[in-house]
Amino acid sequence: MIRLRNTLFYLGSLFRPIVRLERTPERYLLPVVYAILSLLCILACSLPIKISRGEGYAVDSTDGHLVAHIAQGDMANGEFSNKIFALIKTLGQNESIETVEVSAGNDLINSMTVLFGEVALVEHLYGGIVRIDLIEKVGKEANLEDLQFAISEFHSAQIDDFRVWKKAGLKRTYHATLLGYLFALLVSLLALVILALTVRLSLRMQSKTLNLIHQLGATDSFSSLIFQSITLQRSLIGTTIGSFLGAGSLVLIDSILEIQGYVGAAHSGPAQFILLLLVPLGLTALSVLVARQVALQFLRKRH
Amino acid sequence: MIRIENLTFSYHDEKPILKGLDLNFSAGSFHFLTGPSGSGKTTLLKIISMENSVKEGHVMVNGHDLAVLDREARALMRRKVGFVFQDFRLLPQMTILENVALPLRITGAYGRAQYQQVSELLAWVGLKEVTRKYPPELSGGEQQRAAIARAVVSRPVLLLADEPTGSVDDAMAERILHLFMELHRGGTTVVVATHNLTMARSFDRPILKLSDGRVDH
Repeated sequence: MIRLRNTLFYLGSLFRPIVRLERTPERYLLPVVYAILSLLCILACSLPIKISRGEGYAVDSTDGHLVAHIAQGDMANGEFSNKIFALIKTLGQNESIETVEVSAGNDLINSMTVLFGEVALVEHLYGGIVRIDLIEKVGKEANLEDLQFAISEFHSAQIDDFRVWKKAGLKRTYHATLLGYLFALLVSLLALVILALTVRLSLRMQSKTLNLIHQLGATDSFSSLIFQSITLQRSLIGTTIGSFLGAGSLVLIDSILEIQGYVGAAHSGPAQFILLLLVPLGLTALSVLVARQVALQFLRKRH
Repeated sequence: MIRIENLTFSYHDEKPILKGLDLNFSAGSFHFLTGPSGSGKTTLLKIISMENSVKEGHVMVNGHDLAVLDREARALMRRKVGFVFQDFRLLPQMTILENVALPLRITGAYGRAQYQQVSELLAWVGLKEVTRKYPPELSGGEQQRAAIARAVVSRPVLLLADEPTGSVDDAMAERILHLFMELHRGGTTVVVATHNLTMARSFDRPILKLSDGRVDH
């Protein structure tokens, strides 16, 4: 019963402070600090998520996918077409290959313009080129030597095995994701330090009030409760603002990525929008805990 | 109630203000403490109220040695001590009503009945009209009365008052001391530090004179 009463008193005091503190300038500063920290945390945490999503997209879209680019070279048009048809037939008979797709001319230019964003450049690179996309059967890995042999008639042609460069790419994205998480951790640590410093600043500004309530019989827990309550209020205001700014930033980053041609690759998903809710709540809870610890430490040293 | 043995105290290793002081205030007693400025009256009250720590000697309050009490116990002990500060120490950001109710709020014993009690007390000290005002809006005398109301609101077992009548007229000073007498009759131990020897004598209570950090018998 006493525990319930104490808990209710604690919760009540958290949302409605018993002692009103002096109006000092840091009461305006703190919500701004919390808003900036919240925004930084949202961006820092969404960075590795974005990289992972981009990586996932790259893996999904290239799994079991082989490509060959064949240049017309010095062959005559008719001879080239016949040989391509023959090649498609040969490749289609390979037991590991599910489908063979050929793109050339405008089809190829259109599909590559999405990636390069410039028609002139695509025409320059892909003029007179035929692209053959080979999709492997699920669970079957094609023998690259066989495929390479099949296209060997076209001297410059090479099977582009995504697996080769994907391995290097995945290694790079792994490092980038790791770096992203490190950055998020760094920002969180920085947030923790700033939170502790702002609470200390607040405590110093309110030393007159603290001394008096201490003299009137306030325990350390009671005094720290006042600061937890103030921190809770200011943190909630600040992190909510930070969350709105974070939402705006994510939308902005998505539109920039879309303009750059990374359609869908690193688009914000539900995980990033959950961050907008989790970061403010987490930061607020952390602030209250930090406020409690810093206040108790400060009070023990002071009195 | 209060037993002081061989108490020596100095601020920051300067010249001692209290020098081997021995004193005894029995429970339910009423004492006046007089002496010239710098004689150690305020320092002694601050040590008894645990605002200053005992460095040398012993101070026992209500059977507890103040030097060995832990932080929680000291806080709980302070709740039983009412202190009228010389500089009032009202919180400027809180109304007079909130300031006076503060000791009750700290103990968690503040409800409708206590609100009524605080209002009546404020009316008794002549502050009925200013309960919603803030301390800077009040005169020195009014602030002092509010500080006195705050010190007695929780009906402390020990009341320490440092120059409680310094900023009020004679009539109000007499009323205040009568309030202290009333609390004393109710069992509260009262120690009043004052310069006003004439008024202290008129109450027919023991007067202790501090001089150069010692009791001048």
